Amino acid sequence: MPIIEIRNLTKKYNDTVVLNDINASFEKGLIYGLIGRNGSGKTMLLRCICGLVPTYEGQVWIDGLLETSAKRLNTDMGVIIETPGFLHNQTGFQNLKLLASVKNKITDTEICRAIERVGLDADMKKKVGKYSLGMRQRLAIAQAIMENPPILLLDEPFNGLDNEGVEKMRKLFLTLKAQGKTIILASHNQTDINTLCDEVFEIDAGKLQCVK
Amino acid sequence: MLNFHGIWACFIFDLKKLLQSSRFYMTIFFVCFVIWDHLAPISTWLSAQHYKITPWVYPFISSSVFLQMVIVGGTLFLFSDAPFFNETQILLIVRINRVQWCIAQMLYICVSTMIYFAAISLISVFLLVPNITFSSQWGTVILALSRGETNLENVMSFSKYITESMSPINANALCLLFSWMASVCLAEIQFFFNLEEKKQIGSIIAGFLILQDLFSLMILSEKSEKYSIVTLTRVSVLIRNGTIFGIDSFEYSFFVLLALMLLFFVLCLIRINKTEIYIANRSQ
Repeated sequence: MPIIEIRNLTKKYNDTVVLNDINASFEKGLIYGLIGRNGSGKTMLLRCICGLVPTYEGQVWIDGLLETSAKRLNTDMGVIIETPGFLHNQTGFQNLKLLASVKNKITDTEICRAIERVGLDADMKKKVGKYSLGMRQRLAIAQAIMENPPILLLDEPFNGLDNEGVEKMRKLFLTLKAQGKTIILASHNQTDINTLCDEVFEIDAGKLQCVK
Repeated sequence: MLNFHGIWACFIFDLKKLLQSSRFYMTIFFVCFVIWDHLAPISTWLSAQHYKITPWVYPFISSSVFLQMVIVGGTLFLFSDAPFFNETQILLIVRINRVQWCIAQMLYICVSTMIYFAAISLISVFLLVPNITFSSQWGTVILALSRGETNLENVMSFSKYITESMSPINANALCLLFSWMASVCLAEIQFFFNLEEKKQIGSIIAGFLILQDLFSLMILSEKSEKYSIVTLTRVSVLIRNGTIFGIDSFEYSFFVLLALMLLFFVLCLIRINKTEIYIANRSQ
């Protein structure tokens, strides 16, 4: 059974069709790529999957459960949507600890482990206000993976990363895939998509097609 | 089942963000500057006459139409980014369901408004230093100001309705309570209508409701006071009216404000399930 299944998903704003009859399924333990021009609907699709958009036509099934209304915002996903924000006057560790306290599922050790995996261990006691864009992006990835979710929805996860950071994150995502995680990542970078993804979908004018 | 841990975590996140934001401190500074401007002539007179005033000035500050409009308007500004969808909130919202996130926002509104009013009332006392003396009574100076027995002109009004009908502690407590309740109502109204429409309609509606107090005074009749949220916080008006619709005016004010708080709380919880969560403020 696919872990995510999308059936006839359509999203309109007045007369503007943003997503047009999308059908797709995503299996466990694979990395999926979403490519498309700016404004093609990549982020909207990710937002519909993670429940930030309550009204649409069609169905989104997550791990066998139908998201029928906005009441069920699936909370077992690690998400990077747009550029995540953190508290500037708190350290990287403090920010993640605060976020982790919402579900209260993980310990400080696991938070530190997530920070180490993204290569921020030397900077975790620095205030986020002093982080570069790349460091904040790494922190964003850390917050997405720290609670060990089965699904990761990542919108432009390599944004702002240097070459070393990109390579490190690629290895991380491949490790997570080996652990059985399902990763959907949206990216403009063809190299990232070709290197990492088992399947690639292209969105154009709200329509989805599998290109790999 | 409610995830109290999650609600608390979201609330703490919001509160930390507020206390680290310059907007909070600028709002308090601006409001206190306006209060200082009104208290300065009194402070100067006290220094010249070597008189001391007791610290119970807040009931008179909140009974001034203009000052109360500024004070309550400060909370309008504080919560002008309601429903607080931004890059930081997205990380919280994806971890907790919408209704519980909304409860956390309501808790944040209640507590941050409390902090705001506590700061304003304390600073209004501080502004009169070094002419302050501590007593549980109104004191000679406030009584004289309320009876018009001083030679001060063009100063803030000290309503004799308050000094003759209430003890200082009761008056302060009720002013702060009603001001807090009204501000929470207005913040919830902002939150609800900004959920409905993305164009800050809630802030406009809340702003109009604040101005309704001024309209009641200047244009409309006294009968309209009973329908104005901000007027119901002014203790001098409540004492003057005595009863509203046959009910003690203080009880009327309390129950109307409480009912509005609960109504919009529930409306927000219902509405949040149908709201698309978007990033409104790219603050970072």
